[in-house]
Amino acid sequence: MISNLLLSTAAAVAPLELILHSTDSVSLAATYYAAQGGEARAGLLLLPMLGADRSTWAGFAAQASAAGIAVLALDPRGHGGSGNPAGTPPAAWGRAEWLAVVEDARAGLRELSARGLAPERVVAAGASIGASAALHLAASEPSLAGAALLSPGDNPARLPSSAALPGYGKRPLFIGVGAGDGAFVDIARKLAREAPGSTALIVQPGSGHGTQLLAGSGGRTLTAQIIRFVLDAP
Amino acid sequence: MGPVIALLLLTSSPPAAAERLNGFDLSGMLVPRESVLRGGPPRDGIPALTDPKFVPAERSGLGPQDRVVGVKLGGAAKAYPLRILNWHEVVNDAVTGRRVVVTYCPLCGTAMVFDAQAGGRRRTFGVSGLLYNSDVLLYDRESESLWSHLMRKAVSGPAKGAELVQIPGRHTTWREWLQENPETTVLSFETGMPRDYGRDPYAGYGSNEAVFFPIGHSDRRLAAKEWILGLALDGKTKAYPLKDCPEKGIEDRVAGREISVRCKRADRSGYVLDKDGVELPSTQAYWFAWSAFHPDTELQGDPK
Repeated sequence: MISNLLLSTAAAVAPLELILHSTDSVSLAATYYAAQGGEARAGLLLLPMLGADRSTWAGFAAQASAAGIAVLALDPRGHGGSGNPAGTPPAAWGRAEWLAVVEDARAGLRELSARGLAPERVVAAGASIGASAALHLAASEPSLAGAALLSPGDNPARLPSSAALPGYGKRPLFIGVGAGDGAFVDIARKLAREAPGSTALIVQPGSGHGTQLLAGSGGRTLTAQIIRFVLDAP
Repeated sequence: MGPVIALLLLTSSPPAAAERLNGFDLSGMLVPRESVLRGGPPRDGIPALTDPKFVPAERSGLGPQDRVVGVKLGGAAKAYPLRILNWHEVVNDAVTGRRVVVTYCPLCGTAMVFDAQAGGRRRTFGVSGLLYNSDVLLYDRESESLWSHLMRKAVSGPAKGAELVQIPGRHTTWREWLQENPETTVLSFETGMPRDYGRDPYAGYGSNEAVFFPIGHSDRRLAAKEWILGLALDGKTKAYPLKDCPEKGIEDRVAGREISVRCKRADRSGYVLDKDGVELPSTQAYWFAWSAFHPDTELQGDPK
C-alpha cells in the first residue's frame, strides 16, 4: 500500500498566537491556524491531554488548515501558556476544575465564532481528558457540528465522557484509540455502543494514547479520517 | 497555486486486520483487507437519499456553472446536483420505472450511475463509511454486502462477486444539461436532511494535489487531480484527459470496438458513443483514482 500525501508549500499562512480570556478572566493561550485556499470549509477546536499543551496538535493542525479547515488549538487553564487560578497541577484536579476547562473551551468557540465560524460548522476535538472536555462542551452546545475524541477517558472524579452522551444526542461521533491502550479501549467501545447516534470508532494498532496516535503512518491515515469527519459534519 | 512537495511514503507490513469494520463482514474480501479503511464519518454518517423529490428545471435553484450528474432513460431526464451529492453520495431513485442508484465519491471525483438490480435482486444502497483506494464503498441494505464503486462489483458479503451494471450518466454543468434536456427535472434541495447545500465540504480539494487516503497504485503520467474520462470496455480501460480532448472529439478503437469520444471542455464534460451512436457508460474521475483502480489503463496521448 502506497501512502501519498502531498503537502502544498504555497499560500501557507503562519499560525497566529492569541491570548483569549475565560468568563472568570483566566488568560488562555491559543494558536489559530487559518484555513488555506480561501474561505474556511469548517472549524475545529483542539484540546490537549492532561498536562500537555497545544503544541502537541501542531502537525495535525497544519494538515487540517491545508485541507481548508480553520483550527484553534487551545491551552486550557493549567496547561501550556495559560493561567492556573487553582494553583495546583491538573493531575490533582477534581470535577469543578475540569468543568472550568469546559468553559475555557467555550471561550475557544467564541473566538472561532468571532472569526466567522459559527458553532454549526465547528467540531470540538480533544485528546484524553481533552477529549472528555470536548464531548462535554459539545453536549452543552447543541448547535456544534460534532466531536472527535482521541483516547477519551471516563473518570467519574474528573469528566466522565459517558455522562455527556445524552446531551450530545444523535450527532455523529468520532473516536480514535490505540489497540494496546488498556482500559481506554474498553471506554472507547463503550462510548461507541452507548452513543445515541452513529460513531466512527478507529482502533489503531499500537499503544499510542491521545495525540500520540497522530504519529507515524497510522497517524497520517487517522489525520485524514478526522479531517474528512470534520468536513462532512452536517 | 505554487509548487508542491511530494512525500512518497511506504508503509511497513500492516498488522492483522479486523474481520468486521463498521459492522460489515470483511472476511474473504475480493480486495486486500488491509486496504479497506474507515473514511472518517461513520456508517450512514453520509446519509444516502432513498425518497428523492424532484422539481421542474425552472425551480432548480441552480446556476449555469453548478455541476450536475444527468441521467436520461426512456425519454425522461433527471439531474442530480453535486451540491447535494457532495453531502449524500448516494441517491436511490427510479427513472421511467427503472430503479437506479446515482453515486458520487467526492474524494475521487467519480459520478457513476448503476442499475439497482444487481446480483439477482433489487437493492437499496447506503454509504458504508469505508473506503478502498480512497473510493467509497457502498453497501446494500438487503444483504449488507460492500460494493466498490469504481470496481462496479460487490467485494464482500453475501453478494460478493455480483456486478453493478453501469448506466450512462453525464457529469457536466447545469447549463449544458439543461440546454440538451430542456424537459429535465432536478433533484430538490428539500431533502429533509439538515445540510447546508450552499456550502461545499470539498471546496478547494480539486485544485490542490492532496490525496487524503492511501491508494494501492500511483501513476505519474498525469497530475493526481487531472480530470479524465475513463472508459472500461470488454476488459480494456482507457483514459482521455478532458483538458486535451478536442471539440471535434476523438475517434478511437478500444477492445477492438470503434468508439467516439465527445467532449465539451467549457463544461468539463464528455461522453462516449459506440459506432451506432449509442452512448456507452463512461466515468469522469481524477486521474489518481482511475489509475489506482486500473493500473494497466491506456492513456490517450501517452506515447508509450
